[in-house]
Amino acid sequence: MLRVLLAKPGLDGHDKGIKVLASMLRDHGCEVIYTGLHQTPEMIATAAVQEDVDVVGLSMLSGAHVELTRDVLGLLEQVGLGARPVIVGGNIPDGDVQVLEGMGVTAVFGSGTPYAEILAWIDGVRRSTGPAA
Amino acid sequence: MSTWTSRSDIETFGVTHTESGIPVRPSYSEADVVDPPPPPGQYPFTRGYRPDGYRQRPWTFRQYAGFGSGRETNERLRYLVEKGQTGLSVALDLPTQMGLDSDDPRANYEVGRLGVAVDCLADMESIYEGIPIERISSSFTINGTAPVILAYYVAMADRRGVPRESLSGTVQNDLLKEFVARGAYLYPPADSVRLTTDVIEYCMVHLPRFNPISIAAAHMRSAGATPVMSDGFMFANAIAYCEAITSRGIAFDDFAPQLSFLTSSYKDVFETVARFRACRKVWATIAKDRFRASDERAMRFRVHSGGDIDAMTSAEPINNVARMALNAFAAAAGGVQSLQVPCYDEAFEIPTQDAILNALRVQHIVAHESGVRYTADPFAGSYFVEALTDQVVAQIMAIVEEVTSTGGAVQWITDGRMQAAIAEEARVWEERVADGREVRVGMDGTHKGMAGQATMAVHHADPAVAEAQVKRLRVHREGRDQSMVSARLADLRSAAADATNVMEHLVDCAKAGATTGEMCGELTAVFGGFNAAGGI
Repeated sequence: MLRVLLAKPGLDGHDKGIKVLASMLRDHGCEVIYTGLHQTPEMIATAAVQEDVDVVGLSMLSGAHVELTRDVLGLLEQVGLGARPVIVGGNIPDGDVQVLEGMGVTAVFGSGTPYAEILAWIDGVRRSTGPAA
Repeated sequence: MSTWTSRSDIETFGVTHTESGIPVRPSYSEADVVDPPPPPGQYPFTRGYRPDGYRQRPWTFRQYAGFGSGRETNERLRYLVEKGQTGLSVALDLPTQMGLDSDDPRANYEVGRLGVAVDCLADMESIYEGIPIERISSSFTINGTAPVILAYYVAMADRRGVPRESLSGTVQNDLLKEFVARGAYLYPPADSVRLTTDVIEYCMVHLPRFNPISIAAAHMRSAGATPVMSDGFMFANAIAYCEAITSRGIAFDDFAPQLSFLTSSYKDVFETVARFRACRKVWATIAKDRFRASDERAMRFRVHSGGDIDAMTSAEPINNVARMALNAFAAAAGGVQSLQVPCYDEAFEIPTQDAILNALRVQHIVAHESGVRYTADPFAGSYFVEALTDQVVAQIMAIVEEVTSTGGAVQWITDGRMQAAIAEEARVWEERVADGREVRVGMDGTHKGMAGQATMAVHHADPAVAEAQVKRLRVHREGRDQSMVSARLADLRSAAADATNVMEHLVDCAKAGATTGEMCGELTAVFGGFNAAGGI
């Protein structure tokens, strides 16, 4: 079963989207670990290691998504999880999508993205991680 | 769950059901007006409190503003007052909302980002430079740190020689809904409610014109609840606060006149009008029947409408101005005391100055050009609106009854029951969007990302702001009398531990130069921190 860590970095408390996604991913056959609010990048990297997740999803609506994502990516690299796909959601201006992708984010699903698109992306990861997943 | 209507099984909003899922018939008649409400000014105040409605003066025009440093926010606030804003609403940044100083590593990247940073009294004084706080009211969207922010405000007034009893404004200070929806809590639920009641008690004695709490539905709505569900939970939370205060031996009639509420106008104009009418009736009934209020001022549902920010689309954003006008009109027709309209660029970023001015002008247009102020409660007597008001009252009362008869709001929140009900409804809404049952004009499924952003100027945060704020904070810490600060902080800690009201101690700390992080740190040392689980 594909293991997905969903995390809220920083101080922003908007978690409607990430909770809906968590619920949809569970129904879609994923094992979802949701960190809850107010996570530092260190806490997220630690959780990713402890839970040995296949995918890390970050949701931010605070405007600090570029900086916080950069920190999370750096720490994931340090703990040896640099190759795991990272996805980002929330209020992400168009101009920042390329910035995030350039930093190593696998996919950006900003507010308003149909959930079906995220589920289709998950199916793609599942296929690429082999039959065991 | 049948206590509230869900959107799960309805067809298209706008034809057969209201926004909250209440079924609507093709036509209504006299027979649907079962219990017509008494005139405006009479219990249970369905039609409002003033017999002449808004004729003498309109609601308070109050747009939410604040970013960067105190100086930038001061400029923005003064600009809005100059353009005809009649009340201030200060946006504080997330670190301030979470009780963190600007140089705390957990505040990284968020200092001055979504609001203004307030690390110490000097920051508050900089926000208000040249603004007559004895004449204009200020609202603070602040919860976990509400006692600290209020303490800065009082300390500022003392230093200016402004009498405390002349201060008017609001601190949101509604912690219960933070656990349900917004997440800006610092301490465990019981300690949070204790601090909330400290503020209410303090304002009752020292700040008679200040609203010590704004009991809020709007954030639960943003988290996914239907508007009517969010109103029901808001009243359940209000009852929990009132019980906490009356258990201190304080009479309901003494503190309740200062309670205020926050629930917003949403896209459904008729349901919005019915909701504000229903809320007035529900609160009067609760005050009288449950808390034995005898003073009519203690039965008033004084409300700020926060605006339907979630309705703002990133596609074709100029269309949002039409949504804003309907939003403001519905709130005015519903009889709110204070109003914020969302801004057309709200789907992208915090609003630009032009966007806030536009929102303020939308309020002015509704107030001066639409005729909504001709007569009190202008929709009264409409077969449909009267029938809908009755249905909303019944549904809110059923929710209140269900929560209070099965443990009450604090228990519901501790068990995650409110959170679960709201999360379920959030998912229902997303499924409706996905299969096209929820129409969002301009967002037609092919729309992706924030394409509309290219057509307008959007706010850009200045990265130098945080650095400058941290520098000012460090200079401040070096310049103060450290032994005085330590002594005041120690007093605060013992007051918190002794269950004495902490407010005057916080004012003393503020005057001595203590910082937001230091004061909240003392309180955390006594109460402990709190981290809710995922809640799903």
